[in-house]
Amino acid sequence: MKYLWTEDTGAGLHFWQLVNQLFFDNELVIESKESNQGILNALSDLEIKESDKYYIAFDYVVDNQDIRNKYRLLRSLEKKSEGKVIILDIICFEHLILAFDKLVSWTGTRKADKIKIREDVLSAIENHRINLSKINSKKTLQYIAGFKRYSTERVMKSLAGELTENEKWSVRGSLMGECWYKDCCVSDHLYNLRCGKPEVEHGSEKMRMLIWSEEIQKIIKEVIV
Amino acid sequence: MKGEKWMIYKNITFKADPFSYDLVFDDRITLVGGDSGTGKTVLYEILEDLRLTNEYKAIKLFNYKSDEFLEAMKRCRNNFIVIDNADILINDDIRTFINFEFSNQYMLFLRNCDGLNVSDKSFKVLKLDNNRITLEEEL
Repeated sequence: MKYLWTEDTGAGLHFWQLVNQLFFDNELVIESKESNQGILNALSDLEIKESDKYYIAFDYVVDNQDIRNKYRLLRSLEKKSEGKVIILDIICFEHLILAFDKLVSWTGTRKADKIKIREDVLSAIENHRINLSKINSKKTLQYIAGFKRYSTERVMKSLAGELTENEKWSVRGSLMGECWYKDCCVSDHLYNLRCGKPEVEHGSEKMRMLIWSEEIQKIIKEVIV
Repeated sequence: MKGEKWMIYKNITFKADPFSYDLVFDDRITLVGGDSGTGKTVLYEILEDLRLTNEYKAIKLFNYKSDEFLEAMKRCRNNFIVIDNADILINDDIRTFINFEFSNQYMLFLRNCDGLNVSDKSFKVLKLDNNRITLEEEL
């Protein structure tokens, strides 16, 4: 069996379930381990069978000490597994949403300041962090400076949250917003629509376009079914 | 506040008999970790002398003895700032200053990177090999 373990429980888990359904023909077993510690615990206790493979969606950023410590342990477990455990190269689920090239046009968000911040942040991402010294916009730096304790993950989650507040595009709930995976239109106020109206209306097609986006493909190309 | 890549010193090299130091920096923020007794405080003390030379006059040093630490830190521009025992000394305010004051370069004797805009090249430990002391990437 081939497993994909995620630390996410809500929309992030739902995302991987949809990826499995639409991209991998349900060949994977998707499981949430509920936290990064949950992933470590599960891997520590694991007895791997010859035919099994485990793909680990562990959110990794370099600027969080607890995550760094856990990632180090995870790497050592991966090393011992003789290729049976594979860590996917992921910052966090929200980064995948944020990096989707259709995000702004589909959601129809009109938050010009956040759209600009998104562009600045995405262009400053390098090796699991935002390189602040690559950002030249004073407004973007001020926005980031406003976080009580800065971390790459916090910025990603906050920005993704802000830019998906329209209609049912949210990625903050227990599932992905219905606009991502259901046929258009699922709005409760059809006559005052706050949506960018995607060029495709079929739910599966929208999700497929998301799955085929650059950042997501970089990650899932590691998964061989 | 404008983001610019800025390194005050790419290298700091000097001799302190019988040792020679060859410190190379790969990021504007360097965290020097490692256990007690690995030479962090000795290095700090040597830098106190080194900063009196013309070549290294941009070095500014802070430790628990520093007067008005917060205010003095915040006045620094175009400096190579070294903070000993940074886990104890720096608060969120200082972490924000470090993140966004791009004119300075920072070497922090610190174990916990939370709240700092570090890269994977920021994490170093002092290594002694044949009387030569270098900064190596933390494994």
